[in-house]
Amino acid sequence: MIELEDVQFRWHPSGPVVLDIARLSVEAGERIFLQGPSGSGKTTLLNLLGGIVLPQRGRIGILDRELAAMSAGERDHFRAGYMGIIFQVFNLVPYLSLVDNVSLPCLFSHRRRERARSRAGSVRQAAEDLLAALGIPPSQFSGAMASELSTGQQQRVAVARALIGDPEIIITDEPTSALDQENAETFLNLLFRELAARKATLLFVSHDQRLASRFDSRLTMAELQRKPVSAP
Amino acid sequence: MNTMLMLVRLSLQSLWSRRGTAILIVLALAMGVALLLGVEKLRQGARNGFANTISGTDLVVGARSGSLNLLLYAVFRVGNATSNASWSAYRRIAEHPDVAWTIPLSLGDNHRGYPVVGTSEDYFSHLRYGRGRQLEFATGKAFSDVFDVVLGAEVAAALAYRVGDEIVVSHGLGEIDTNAHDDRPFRVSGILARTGTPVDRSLHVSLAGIEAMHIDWRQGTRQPGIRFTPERLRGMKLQPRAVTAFLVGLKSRFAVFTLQRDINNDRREPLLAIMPGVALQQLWSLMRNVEWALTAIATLVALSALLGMLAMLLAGLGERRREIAIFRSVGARPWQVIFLITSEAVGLVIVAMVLGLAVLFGALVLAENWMAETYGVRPAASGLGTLELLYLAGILLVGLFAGLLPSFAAYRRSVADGLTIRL
Repeated sequence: MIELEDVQFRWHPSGPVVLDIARLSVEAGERIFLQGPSGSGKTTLLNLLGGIVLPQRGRIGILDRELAAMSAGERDHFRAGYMGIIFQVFNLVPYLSLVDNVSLPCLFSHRRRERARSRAGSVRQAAEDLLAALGIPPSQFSGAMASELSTGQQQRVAVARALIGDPEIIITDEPTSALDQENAETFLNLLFRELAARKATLLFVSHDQRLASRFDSRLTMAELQRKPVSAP
Repeated sequence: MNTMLMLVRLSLQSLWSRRGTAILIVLALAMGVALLLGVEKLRQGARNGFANTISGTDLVVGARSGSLNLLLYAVFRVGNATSNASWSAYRRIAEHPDVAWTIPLSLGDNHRGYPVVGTSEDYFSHLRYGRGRQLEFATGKAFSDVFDVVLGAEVAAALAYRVGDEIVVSHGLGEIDTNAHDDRPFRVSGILARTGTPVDRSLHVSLAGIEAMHIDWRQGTRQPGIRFTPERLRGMKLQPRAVTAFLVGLKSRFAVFTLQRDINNDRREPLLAIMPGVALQQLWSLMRNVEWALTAIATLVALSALLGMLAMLLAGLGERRREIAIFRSVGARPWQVIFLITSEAVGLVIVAMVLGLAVLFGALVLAENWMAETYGVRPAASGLGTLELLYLAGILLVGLFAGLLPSFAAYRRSVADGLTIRL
């Protein structure tokens, strides 16, 4: 599903190596907990997996596709079609309704749009189904703007957006760091339930140790990195 | 759904969320557009009105002075002639075989600040303005008696005169009637229809009427002794000895240069013949600085509105940084991010242009007649000229630039941010 081999990355050609991974392999359907303090290269890894940047060395294969073989536009398209991404905070576009926020990936990816349609009949229906499944009251679907939601609700809407159109890979960047224990648990329960129904692969980047035990496997950035990160 | 349409829809939703600011920006831009094009329309209207003051006249002839001076007093009835052209010179040119008609003009008197023009009946049949339009009588008819006067439309309207009223004409151009010819009043025989030219501001009497006014005056003051009653004057042969200037119409326009040269080189009397079109151009070129200043001010207004828009877009960028990260995460390409922000600016500019044009043309349609009657300027309410289209294209281009600037800034930030949302 995700294969990294001998990947080395620096932001500038003369800058320090911020990521140096000998090997990382994630199987389909696996739920990985990736732990590491800030500055350990987590963000860079996310950008590499999302195809925003390419490594100077090594290869990254996702779903048997070589990221390096694609153009920047193709990588954007690939990301839209096969990956759902959940941020730490501010996951919602403030001027769009919840349904429009959830439907966003279907605007940019034909694949996700078609898959959402074949599942629910229409993109809108797919978005509403997901929002309902994630416990958002139907009265808020069309009207509510992000500012009217609690942080917990916002993160659940973000899950709906990541899941719409059934992408193969979900990547999250500390999605629970702004939530309290109870909300974090609820968030994870809902996420796992929907993932299981879709057999999607999850890469959960976090330093929230409380949640680690519930994942299939647990990695730390320190284990992944071939040598310690040289401070800039 | 088409990708472009969807991006446009997204940018519309984004604009709608900031509609308060957006509406203000659109209003400011629309004002700039309306002002810029309005100044241009007025300028063209003024220029046309100016060029339309006289038409069909091939030469304006007067005593030798400057061509602008001659144009000013003979056509615009502003300022004074320094000397006159003799009656014999006038008759000589009037009888020239190439000359179709002449209109003598005897200037120098006024009625309550409005110039009094001594002339002949040919004035009403041959004087043309605009695109060859003839003078028309609103009421009454041309002068037939020595003491008849024909009023321009503005004179009649401003002083509330009607056909049959008796008025007193004074000597000199001043407003104050210290030496009014009050013993021999003139009777209004006709009122001309509005032309939007200096004719509207003039009172017209026969050359004999001018003579009758001045017959007992020498050196600008009344001579004691003989009193001339109107009855006695009517019986006299009132032959003018000079005219201030005269307009000449030729049978064939090809003769104009020859005749002009002949008149200007005439050794018998120092005369000056000018072609009114050429002189009007010279006079208009004096206005270039004013034109330029007006255009500059209007341009600055439009630019400052565009700067306001740029400020709004840049100010919103911090907040949109997160939004752009979200768009990138769901697969938006860099060009789509740039399009999203640029299309907002361009959309604002286009809406402002439509609004500005609507305001401008609405105002023009409403004010056209009023302006034509009050100032003799008729701004063309129809269509857009090349220059106006260039202005619009320029505004759109600057608007596009004002949109590209923040979107490239946003794009550069989005590259640095990648798939993270910086707080």
